[in-house]
Amino acid sequence: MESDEELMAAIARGEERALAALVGRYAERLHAFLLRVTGNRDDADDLLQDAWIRVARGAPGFDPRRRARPWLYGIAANLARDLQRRRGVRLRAAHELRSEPAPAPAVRPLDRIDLRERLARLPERLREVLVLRFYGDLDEAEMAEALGIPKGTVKSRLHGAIRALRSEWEGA
Amino acid sequence: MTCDAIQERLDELAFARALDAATPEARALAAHAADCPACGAHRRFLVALADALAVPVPAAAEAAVAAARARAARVLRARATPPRVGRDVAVALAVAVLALPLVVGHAYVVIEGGAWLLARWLPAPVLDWLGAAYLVSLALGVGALYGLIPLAVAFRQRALGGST
Repeated sequence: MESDEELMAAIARGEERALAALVGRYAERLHAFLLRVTGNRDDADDLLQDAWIRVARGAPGFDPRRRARPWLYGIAANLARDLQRRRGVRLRAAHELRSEPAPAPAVRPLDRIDLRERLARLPERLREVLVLRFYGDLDEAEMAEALGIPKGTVKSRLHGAIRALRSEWEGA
Repeated sequence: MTCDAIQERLDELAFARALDAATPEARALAAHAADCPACGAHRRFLVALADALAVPVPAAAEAAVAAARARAARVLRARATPPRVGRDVAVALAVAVLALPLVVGHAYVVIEGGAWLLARWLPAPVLDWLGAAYLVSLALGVGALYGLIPLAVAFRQRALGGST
């Protein structure tokens, strides 16, 4: 099986089958990430299209020494950020998603809803790293690559987000 | 290991959804958290957070993925096909040149007719000057118009490329 980076190189050469393969590999995951960040299916659908268009356009400039996965998530994160800036309002939180709640016998539903609301109210820079870490399945180095920030900043933002949420949770 | 360090490790386990994993590290940290109020509270918070964030999201609609794939593929194809700007400019200029006899004829009529009308009131040098000024302004206007054609074609090509 070709690696993500090999597929990127093939896309850079204009091979549609490589694009289809990479879309097949990542479309679902990127869509889930966008859906969690935006909280809106239409926005996630639109951003997914924009993301793959950017991939197709940007493939020739993709540095083959980089990893493709953080690059893809970086595109998605940037698009979500751009959308938020364009609208000038905070994107809807993931808690607005209509889905079946996961079973959680040890935690009261109120806690769950409350934490999601609080997550949605976190400053963008903190929320972004937390969502990427939880849902993007990226390690800190990959997140740093995706967001274009130092690894130490990723780490401090992650723990900052945890601290902020915990202090609110405990104060509630 | 200090409690701060333990709580950071607990954070990492939470990110990896491994707080309750059957690993030696997870078990050791859980045992510490059971005895330490601060780390215990932190672990309880992380369990609540992981649970709060564990809401599954609906899968992407196949149509949305297909649309994304199709649009990106169009961009790939457009990238592979060099824009035919040269041919488009040539066509636009050819169409524009068709209007050239009309412009020249119109200029001739205006200059000749103007000279005939004004000959009784204006001296010949002034008439020559007016005719020359008219010709120059007409040439500049037509030149600018024709010069804009390749620019407009290139702009259109870029716009089409951007909308794919």
